[in-house]
Amino acid sequence: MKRFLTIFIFTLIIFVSQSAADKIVIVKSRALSSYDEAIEGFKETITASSSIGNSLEILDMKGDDKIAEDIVKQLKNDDEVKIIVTLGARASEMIASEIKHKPILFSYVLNWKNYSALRQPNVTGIEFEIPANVSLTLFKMIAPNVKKIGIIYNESNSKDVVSAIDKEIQNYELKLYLRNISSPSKLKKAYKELINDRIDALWLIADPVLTQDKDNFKFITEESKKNKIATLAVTEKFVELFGMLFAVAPDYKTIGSQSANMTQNILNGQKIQDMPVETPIGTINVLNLKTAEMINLKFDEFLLKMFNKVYE
Amino acid sequence: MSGVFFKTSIFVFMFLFILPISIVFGDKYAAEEEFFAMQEQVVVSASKKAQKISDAPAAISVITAEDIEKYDYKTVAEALTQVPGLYQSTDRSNDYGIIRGIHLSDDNQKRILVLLNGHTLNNGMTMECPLGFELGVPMSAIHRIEVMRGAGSIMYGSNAFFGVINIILKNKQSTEKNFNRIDLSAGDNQLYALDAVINKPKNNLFISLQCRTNKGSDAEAFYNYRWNSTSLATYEDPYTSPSGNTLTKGTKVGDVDFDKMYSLITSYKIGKLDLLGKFSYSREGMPLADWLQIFTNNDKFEQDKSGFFELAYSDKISDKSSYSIRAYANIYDYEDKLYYHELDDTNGNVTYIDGYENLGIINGSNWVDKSKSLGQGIELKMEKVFLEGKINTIYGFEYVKNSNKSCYHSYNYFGEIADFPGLNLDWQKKTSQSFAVFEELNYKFSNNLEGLAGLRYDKITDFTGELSPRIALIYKPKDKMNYKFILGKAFRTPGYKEYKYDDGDLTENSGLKPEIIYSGDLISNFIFKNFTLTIDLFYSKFDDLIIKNDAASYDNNQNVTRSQYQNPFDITNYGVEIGLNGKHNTINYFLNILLAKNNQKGSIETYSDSVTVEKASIEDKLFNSPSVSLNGGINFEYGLFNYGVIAKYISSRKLAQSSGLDYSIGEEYPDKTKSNTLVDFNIKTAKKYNGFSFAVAVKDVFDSKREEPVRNISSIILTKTEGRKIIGKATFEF
Repeated sequence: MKRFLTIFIFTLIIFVSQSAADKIVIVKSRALSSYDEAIEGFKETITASSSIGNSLEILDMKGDDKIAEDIVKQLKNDDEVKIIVTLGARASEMIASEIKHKPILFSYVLNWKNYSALRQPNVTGIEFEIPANVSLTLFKMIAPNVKKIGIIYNESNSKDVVSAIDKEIQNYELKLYLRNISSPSKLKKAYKELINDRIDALWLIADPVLTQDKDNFKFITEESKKNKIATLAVTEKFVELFGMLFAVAPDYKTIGSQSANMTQNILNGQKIQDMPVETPIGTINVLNLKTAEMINLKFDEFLLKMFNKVYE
Repeated sequence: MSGVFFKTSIFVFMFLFILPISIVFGDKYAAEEEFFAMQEQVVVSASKKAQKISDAPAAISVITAEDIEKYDYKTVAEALTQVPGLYQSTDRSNDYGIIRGIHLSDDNQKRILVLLNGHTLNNGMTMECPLGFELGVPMSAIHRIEVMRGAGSIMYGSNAFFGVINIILKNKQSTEKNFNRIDLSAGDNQLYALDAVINKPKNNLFISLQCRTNKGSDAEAFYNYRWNSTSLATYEDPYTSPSGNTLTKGTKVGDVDFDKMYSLITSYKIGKLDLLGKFSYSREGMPLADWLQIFTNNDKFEQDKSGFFELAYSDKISDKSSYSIRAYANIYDYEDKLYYHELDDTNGNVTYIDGYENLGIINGSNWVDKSKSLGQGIELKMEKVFLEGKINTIYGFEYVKNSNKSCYHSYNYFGEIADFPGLNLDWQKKTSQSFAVFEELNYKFSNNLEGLAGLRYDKITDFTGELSPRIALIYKPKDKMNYKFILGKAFRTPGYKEYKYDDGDLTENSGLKPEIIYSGDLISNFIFKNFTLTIDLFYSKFDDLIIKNDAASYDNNQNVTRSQYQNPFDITNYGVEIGLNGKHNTINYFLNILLAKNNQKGSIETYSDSVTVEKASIEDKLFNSPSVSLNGGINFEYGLFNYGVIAKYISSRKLAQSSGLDYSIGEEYPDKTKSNTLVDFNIKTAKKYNGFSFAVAVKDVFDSKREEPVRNISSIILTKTEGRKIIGKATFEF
């Protein structure tokens, strides 16, 4: 018993007495495996570089503003912190609002332009949205007869994203039908209006007003199958779980690798103010073949090869 | 003791209800984080921290709220069908989840630790926790159920023996969406139930309520039974029964399988402080004639009031470490009333049981057994990450104090305490304390290989200290493939009712030792395009198993044998559990296969009188345990409805012996149950109509009435499930 207690206390002392060196800090908004995938990619890429050494720390705000405030305070006062990598809107905005003198790299922020703090000179990152032309090109290839695309969104969340799509869509001989809703409860009504407009495709952008209610996803998917409407999602899970037609989505692990490369560039002397916000370099294309059949879309071998993953 | 706690509980519950009305918190990032959270699946039970299933050092499975909804599981025991290596069993009094085919006769779920949001639900008296309706947790309140198979003492100490079942409420789900729901159910055997859930994550408030009443189907004698002359009990009134001291095959008795349950669970969060409370009351009939009581009497019952209140606080110490502290109190208040003899004289005259005149045992006597338990505990837990995340560790300590007391009295027909020798005992108290320290350390050797080692030391009153180690290696050669090799040890100290067994007196048995399990798992997980496959090869060895010896001594004064809990047997248990879980568009399916072998070794001494001792060496297959269990389910949506079908096969099980019984008359009593396949079916509306949805479940569609072994305190050795039951449910979400 005494021996065991001695070992236990000794171990405690070792843990408490560790000291830190210059460091890079990754801050998660909360514990989510989506973030962990990026961290894994970050570590794999950064480990290849010897310059980082033993100076990587991971902090978790646990979805709690009070914990978040403590972390911000600590990072602000810690001179050893060289670069802060933030995952999610909570970590990104709260840190960028308070810390103006250290480089901050954000990712996993939906519609990042909505957060003025992220436009500061000491902040850059990786946007979550895939460029509209990438999705539209694939859209046109798999559903060439589509003419009218509908989007339901909240203007205060996704104005910039929708504008970018609107601008791009004209190059694809498509017409955009928009419905701006103020809350998830208005989604069904907006969807029915789009049906009355005879849309033949629906683009579900990453707008929180759409993702707050799982039942809304189910409703949209089922109604779209019935109405033979193609649905474009923004993550693989929505294709798998809700049966949406296809997704062009960022690869989370690659987001981490991309952040690591940007981190490395800063450490190599590149100035953060010269580094624009990047688009995700790794995307995955996912298709739900059963949904495709239900809405009478045909896929040949060539088209199927364009998808990294096909759910049958 | 418990009066103070009840008053405190009432105050706390009022506090939880009233305070939230005036406080509303908002979170501007919640909706965005929900977008990513919708893609999550984590577990917290294996190492008391959030981790992906592939990283958890255990054979662990998750039953989600969606699974519960799709298959319309009515109880946690039923939902366990979906977990590889588990099957559901019932003895008509309680429902159980059996892990890896080890179904001990008097187990009553005391070797599986059951948690609610991490808080122990096993009662402090017997450490049992059945998983049927008596659990008092509405299925609609559950976010997920984490089921860990194998030794779990490294984190939880005693009772995490065969495994750990952690029920996570919807207040722990990641969504910030308000969720209010009412379920109204009605079904065969006059079942009526109301479940209500109010979950307001933005207000940090969660409340669930359950009210249920069920008349139950008739109890039936499936064989002819004969009274054992060494027992005081009869199955029917020996004076009026045409069969005379027998219970005739086919005898049916109504109103003895009833149950009532009322429960309230509530949680509230103030900053970093989490408050969680549960209180439940259940009362149920005893259709098995437990403890040799009269089978036909419908006034016999058992009831319990149980509850707990927990305060949990968590915060970070530095950027690399955090801590959490939990303080809690548990109550358990049990009472049963058993009838041993009917009044044979309708004029109310006192008559004595034939042959027991000298002992003054009159007809119409009954027995009331009471137990109360108050538990208090505190746990401090710390997490630390160092060497750039290569090493993660969790360590802490836990202190638990359990104050138990029990008594029993015999009453005559007129409700007066009957002064029968050896059948009355005033309150007997026993307090035990346990102190534990634990630490587990996880080291990442490379990106695809990590190792884990941990140790826990428990010191519990009356017993020497127990060390519970666990080591594990987790290898992930590819994203969609992982292997785990886990070795662990767990223990279970005897409960109050085992250590201080109340068979005539409450003498402590200082010779009784904790039972030990050593378990090893080699787990392979493969994630294919549309399904996942898990193969777990397991091997376990139990030492010093605690079981009741019904004739451990002989009482010369009363000329009866006395029971005692002893450690006579060791058991080996090995086999494979295979789990297949898939999704093909709107079709979900699962298939779980358990192939298990077991053997018990040891010897037991029994007394048939004061001088005759029989020592029997036993090396045999374990009672009640099947060699094959196979559960499969399919769920799909078609048109306006969602359909679910589950088929549950179990091979035959060797039946345990019962005490005080001469078995059957006129025909051979079976020595094993028949193999059986049960089929359940459910249909529900695929959509909600203005918040309303409707479901119908048909349990045991083909009315196959599975034979089930029952606990060895029952007069009836074998029972059958209730047969086909139809239950309708209307749900309103708002």
